[in-house]
Amino acid sequence: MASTMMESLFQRTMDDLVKGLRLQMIGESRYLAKALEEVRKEIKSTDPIIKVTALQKLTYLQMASGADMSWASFHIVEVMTLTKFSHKKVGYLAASQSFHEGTDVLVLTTNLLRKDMGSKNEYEISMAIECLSRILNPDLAAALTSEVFTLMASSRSFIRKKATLVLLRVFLRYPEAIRVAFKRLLEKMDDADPQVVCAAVSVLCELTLKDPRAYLNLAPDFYRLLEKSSNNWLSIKLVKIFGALTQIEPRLGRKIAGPLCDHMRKTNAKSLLFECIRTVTLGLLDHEGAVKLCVEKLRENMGLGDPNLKYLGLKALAALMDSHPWALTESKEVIIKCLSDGDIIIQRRALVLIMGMVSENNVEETVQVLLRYAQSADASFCNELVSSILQTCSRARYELVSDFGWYVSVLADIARIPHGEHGDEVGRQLVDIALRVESVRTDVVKASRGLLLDPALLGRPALQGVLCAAAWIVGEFIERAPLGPFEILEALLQPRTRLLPFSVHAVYLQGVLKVFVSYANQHTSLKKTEQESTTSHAAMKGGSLRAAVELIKANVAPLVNSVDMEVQERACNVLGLLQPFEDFNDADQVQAGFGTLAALSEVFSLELGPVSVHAQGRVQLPDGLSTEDNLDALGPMDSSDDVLLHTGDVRSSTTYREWEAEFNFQAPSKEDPSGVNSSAALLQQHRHRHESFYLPSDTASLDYPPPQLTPSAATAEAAPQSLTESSIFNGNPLVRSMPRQAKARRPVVVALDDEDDLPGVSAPVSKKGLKDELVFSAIRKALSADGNKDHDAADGLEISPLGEPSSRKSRHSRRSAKNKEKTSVGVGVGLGNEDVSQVPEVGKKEHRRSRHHRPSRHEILVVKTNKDGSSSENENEGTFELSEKTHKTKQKHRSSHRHSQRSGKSPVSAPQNTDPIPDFLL
Amino acid sequence: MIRFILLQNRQGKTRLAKYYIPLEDSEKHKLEYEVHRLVVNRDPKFTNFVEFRTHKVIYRRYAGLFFSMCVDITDNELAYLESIHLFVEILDHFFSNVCELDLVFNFHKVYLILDEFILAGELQETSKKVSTCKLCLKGRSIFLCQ
Repeated sequence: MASTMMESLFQRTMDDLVKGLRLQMIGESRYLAKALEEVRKEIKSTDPIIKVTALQKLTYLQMASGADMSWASFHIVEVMTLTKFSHKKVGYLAASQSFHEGTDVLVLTTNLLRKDMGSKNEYEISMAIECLSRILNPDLAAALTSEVFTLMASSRSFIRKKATLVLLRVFLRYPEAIRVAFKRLLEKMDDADPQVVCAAVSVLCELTLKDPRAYLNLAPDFYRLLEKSSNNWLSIKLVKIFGALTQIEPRLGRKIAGPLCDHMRKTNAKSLLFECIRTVTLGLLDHEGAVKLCVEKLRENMGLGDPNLKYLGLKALAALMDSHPWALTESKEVIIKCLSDGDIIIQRRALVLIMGMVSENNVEETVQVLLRYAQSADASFCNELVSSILQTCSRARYELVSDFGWYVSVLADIARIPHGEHGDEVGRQLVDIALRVESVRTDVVKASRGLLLDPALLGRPALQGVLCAAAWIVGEFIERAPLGPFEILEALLQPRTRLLPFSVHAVYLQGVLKVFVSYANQHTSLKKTEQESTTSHAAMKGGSLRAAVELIKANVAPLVNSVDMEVQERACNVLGLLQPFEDFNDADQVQAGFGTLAALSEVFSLELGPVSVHAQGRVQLPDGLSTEDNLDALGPMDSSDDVLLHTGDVRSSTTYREWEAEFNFQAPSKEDPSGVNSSAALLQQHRHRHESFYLPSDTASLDYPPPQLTPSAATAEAAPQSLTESSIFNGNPLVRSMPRQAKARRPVVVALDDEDDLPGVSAPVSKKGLKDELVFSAIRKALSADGNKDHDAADGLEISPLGEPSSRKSRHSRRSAKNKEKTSVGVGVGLGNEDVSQVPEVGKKEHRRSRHHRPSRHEILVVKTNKDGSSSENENEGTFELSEKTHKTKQKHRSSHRHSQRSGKSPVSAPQNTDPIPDFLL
Repeated sequence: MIRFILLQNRQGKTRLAKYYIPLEDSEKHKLEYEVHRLVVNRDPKFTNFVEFRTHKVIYRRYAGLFFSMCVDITDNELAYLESIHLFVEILDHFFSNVCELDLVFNFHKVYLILDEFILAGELQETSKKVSTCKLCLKGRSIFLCQ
């Protein structure tokens, strides 16, 4: 006794601890360790005061400095069981801060919570509920559902509210509770206390957002509440619920458009206003009046200068962008102003909108504005601006761009932006345009020349992609160089090229080779024509050729010793070709050299063109070729490029290799394909993405034309379709899907036939867990029970959670027997009785299917009736009348349903509940 | 739904942290660090909403204290911003002219008030003005119970 008194006298109090902690400037961690040490000792004390203080200190330490308190869980439970409220409260706080679902002492708290939830003191109840909401696990939920259920009927609204709010957690952890308590939750929507109503709607709102399908039935109730609601928060929640519901039941939109507009006009609360706007953008896009009002309100609010309203306005406009572009154009001024806002969040939003507004007519103006902002913006936003310009303009084969000369100059400008990081993309687009748009090649070469001549650009690593592309372009199209090849040679050989990485340098060397070949060729042709003219002129020409040779020799010779294989090899090639020009007096040698160069220039003059990514698929499978079934080895070759360069023949394959390494191929994936599962998945994924690369079983499906081939190659390969279809080569490009072919001004962009249908994005796969499905199906059931309550003599739901009306039970068991024949449903899911175990499976199927084509619930019912021909399961159907529209869609949907019927699945359960929606809507 | 609520000072010291979703301790500290970094350097003229991972943080600064609330992406920003202010008003009322030190020394009381304000990630007090008195009376009586 004396010892505990001494202890409590000398124990550091909470305040001492905090003060001490505040005084520690440097030795904080030591102080903390010491304090923790003390706590460890004190918490074992038998004196409740010491114990409680110790626990409080521990809670503080955990919150403020992240001390571990999992070791103290048993002590926490001990403190929670103390009878004095002020002690208990410390225990509860510690528990709700540190316990989680997996804490092992939770078992010990079950009875304690039950006792406290039945306490007379409403604060004890409230604490117990709060703690429960934090630590709830399925076991606790199962044990305490009945307590929560009772508390929901408490006479004190304070308690009712809390019990209602905690119900959400209970439902999510323990879906069986829905059957017991869902009805009571619905009753709470009509509670006398507005706070309780609000709590109930909050819970329903969360549930609805998780999966709106089950709550359509409640729409009339929500509507009624919305009409009489005067509490902003309640209205917000209701409007939010309607936002989710209108997305799956468009007819609801017509019904609630009126009240929503009323709210928007009348309310002073911006929060409610923006919630209404959000709901309109989600589900009421067809209602012109509502949308117009939204836009009006948005413009009004964005003009107020409040950054929050500006942000929300931009967000709402973004939601309207696709369906109502006019809304954006009307607020264009404000949006553009937002670009210079200073807050990166607003700037980003504005940028997205501006890019959404871009059209063929305003693209030049918009890009100029953006580039002007890019010059002054900070590095990260500048790059975002640039990347969105690049993305938008290159979208769908540059469909926005009509003046490619302008776009090429924009690309060159972008490359020169001081902290630009998009060199690779700019380079890719330059090459792409050079290849696809023939009429603009001169401009591209001009731009490339400008980039190559600028020595300052060589030192910037971000620009390597551009320079690489530029070097390739001038090499390929040297005959279009404005001031002749010599200055290009100089540019390609300038000393600072040493700064380039080897891969780019190799491209430079290849460029040197091509340029020189072209230059020498010009020289010979000039010579031939001017054979008879003045010798001095010829001598001058020879002199400049000599200068070129000297220039190349001087700069390339050191590269023969390069450590990079590629650079070294190309340097050797170049020097080897220059060998004959060693001595210009040796006429034979020089002549032979010119001969080689002429042959080479012949080769280089063949044009390259883009090749479809599906080209491989169109090559017919030769007889006798056995393909391996196991294609695991292909995993790392996976790439997501869309255009490959096709060289046509072997001669410039080095360039091709170079090019593809630079631009098209991603680094091989680093995933280890060794594991069976992972490789199978990889293969699956690959197959999914590149379906057309896989050789199909029936060649009949190959209805697209063969790849672009040179005439010789085409004949050699005996491609089935003739070249008339893939006539890129003849300069008559395929512009099948170009919307604006008629437009004369716009140069032709060579399009590949099936470029657009890249193996695409699949429909989103349902990833909802079993738990959500359980909640969903349970709520359906609860609602259906609700609808049938007239038939249930005694309110079976409330009295016995497991009691089912007998008629229903027999129906269920009948169905379950039917189901068992086809699908083996795990009865041991742990859900107890048989018909509950059916529910998740049924719900899941329904869910999965509706993901695909989203039939409305009425349609499901209709189909079912047609198929079964029996009305036994649709006894509730009488209450709704199908609108004309539904009748029409019925026909459409039947065909898609046939699939699932044929596949042998048992008929998916139609919602077996009454459906008051149509009545409500009509 | 509210995922968590944080009170931090400018130095990033956590003055109050309440999580409504189960999280590991290490994850909590990471979150606190990230949220602090996210909000501390923002200009008062900027928006009070920041996207954070797959959620968003609604924050408001009072003197040297940042009140940050992490909510779902679909939640109503302005409503939660108002609720932060309401919470601060309640604290102010309760501690009469609240300052950071009040919160530090009475952290357990702040938790109790917060529990009266938010339960299971949902706001309990939703009316704007009246509630202040009502809730404070309730709050006081909690401490009188001791």
